[in-house]
Amino acid sequence: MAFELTLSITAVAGWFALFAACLLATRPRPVPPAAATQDFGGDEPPAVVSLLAHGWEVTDAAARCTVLDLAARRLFELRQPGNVPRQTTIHLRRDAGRTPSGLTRYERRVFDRVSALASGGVLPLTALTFRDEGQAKTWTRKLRAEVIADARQRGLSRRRFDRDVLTVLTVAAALVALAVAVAAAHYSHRTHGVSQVSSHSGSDSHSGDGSGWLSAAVVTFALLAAVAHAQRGERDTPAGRAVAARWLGLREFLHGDEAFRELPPAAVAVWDRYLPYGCALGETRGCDEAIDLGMGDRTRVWSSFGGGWHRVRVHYPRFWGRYGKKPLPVGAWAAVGLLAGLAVLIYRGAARPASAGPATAWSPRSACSLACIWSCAECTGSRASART
Amino acid sequence: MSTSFALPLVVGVLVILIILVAVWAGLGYNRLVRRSTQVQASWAQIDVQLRRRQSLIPNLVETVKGYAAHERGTLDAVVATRANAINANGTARRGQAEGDLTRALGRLFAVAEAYPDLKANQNFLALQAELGETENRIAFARQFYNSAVQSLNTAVRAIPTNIIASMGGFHEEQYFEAAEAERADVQVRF
Repeated sequence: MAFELTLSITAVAGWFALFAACLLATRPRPVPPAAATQDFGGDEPPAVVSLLAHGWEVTDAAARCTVLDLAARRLFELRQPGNVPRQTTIHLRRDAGRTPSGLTRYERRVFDRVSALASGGVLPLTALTFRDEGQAKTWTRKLRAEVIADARQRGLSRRRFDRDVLTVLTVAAALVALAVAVAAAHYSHRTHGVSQVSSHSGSDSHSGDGSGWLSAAVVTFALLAAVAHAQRGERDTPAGRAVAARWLGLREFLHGDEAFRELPPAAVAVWDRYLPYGCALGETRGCDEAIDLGMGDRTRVWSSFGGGWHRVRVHYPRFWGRYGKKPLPVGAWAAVGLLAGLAVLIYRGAARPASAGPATAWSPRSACSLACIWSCAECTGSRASART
Repeated sequence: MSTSFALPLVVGVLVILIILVAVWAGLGYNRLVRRSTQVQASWAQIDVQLRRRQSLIPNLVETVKGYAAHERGTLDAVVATRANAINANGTARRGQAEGDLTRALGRLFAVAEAYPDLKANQNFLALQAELGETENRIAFARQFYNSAVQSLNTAVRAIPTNIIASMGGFHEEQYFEAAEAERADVQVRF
């Protein structure tokens, strides 16, 4: 047993060491900023600049700076009635019905969110938050993918693991799977030999079918290949580094301006595109606090019911995890749980040694009944939550 | 409390107080240095843009001279105000001189409206566009500069940083004022 375990663990650990080495080799290196300057670094949109300035990672700043950029380009107006930036309202232009041209996909996504939520062409800035976590995640994921696609198209970013690295990792995963298969086969052969000796001596023990090594190899390969291909990070390109250095020069300049950091979103009317780019570069604390395209406070939400915007306090039921979830996904999960439970329990029933006697407590029938009850409970809960 | 115990306590408290005051003074001084440096950096940005504008003017004058040589008075005024702007020292004088130059340029472009051949000249159009872009940059550079000056002046005047400012030799800076024409929100069409 020690030999098989050592072989398998060594092979898997070796693969993860290779994976870590790949991560280390392909990490985006820090970009030294150019000399501090007031000039823009190029014509890249703020969301792409945000990617470059944050070590080739799309952060929340991408959505925030896009909101500000659309305001700077006069697609809508930001108005702050008092001294509190969070009271800022978005006012769509009167010709907002027309689809603005020249927008990238992620800019259009942000613009569509604003225009879809607006009531009478007006929307509180803090009403941009989402109420459904899944919706927020999906929206953010799509925005992220679109920003990355634009950056790649401009030659500023590339996939962290390119085809060569993935090939190396996949081949290495195949070798690890082979090692695991050898270990499993060796173990099977050894135990099979022992059981044969036992059966010759009159024992009635159960013996395996000998295909366990194949399953182990397939599962190992699938898991390792999945880990390798799941890496969705981005890395720098020579052009991206040059552009990033120029933009970081602007960040150096803005960093010294303490007043700029505290500017509210409505200041975009005066500061024009400096504010979105400042936001992309992480130099606008005032705007960062006011603009939120995440989940926000779900207990105090905006409602436009009746025509005007007002805040509504919402109470959510506690200890009811399925509350608010759509029935279809919950039903699907219930079905998956049902099938998985049945498979496990039936397998256990089938694999039960005959010497253990008849199954009583956990027979397939009782397992099936329990799984059905659980599944029905899931679906009923989801229906109730949907009705609420 | 015995005197043998009280004396070290008082000395200890005094030492702690002195350390706290020194730390506070150091932080305040550094903040003033940062703001002063930002004022200088912002002024450097304005200087770059103003010099850029000044460097465009000789070409512009030559181009206009080729089509409207008899508009001597307007052209001379542009040349003279440019020379004044180059030689001006100090924020207020520089602001005044640059304001004069902006007005002189405005008059020059107004004159150019009367010469269709000049308006169609590619070189003139390119200079017009570049001057327009430079004017925008000057406007933003002025915003940054005035913002930095406001931060510095607030720190220099406010209590208690004014004590450190007076000891460290920091003083209020002058704002870079907009030209009268810009303040009145009159658009000069280049």
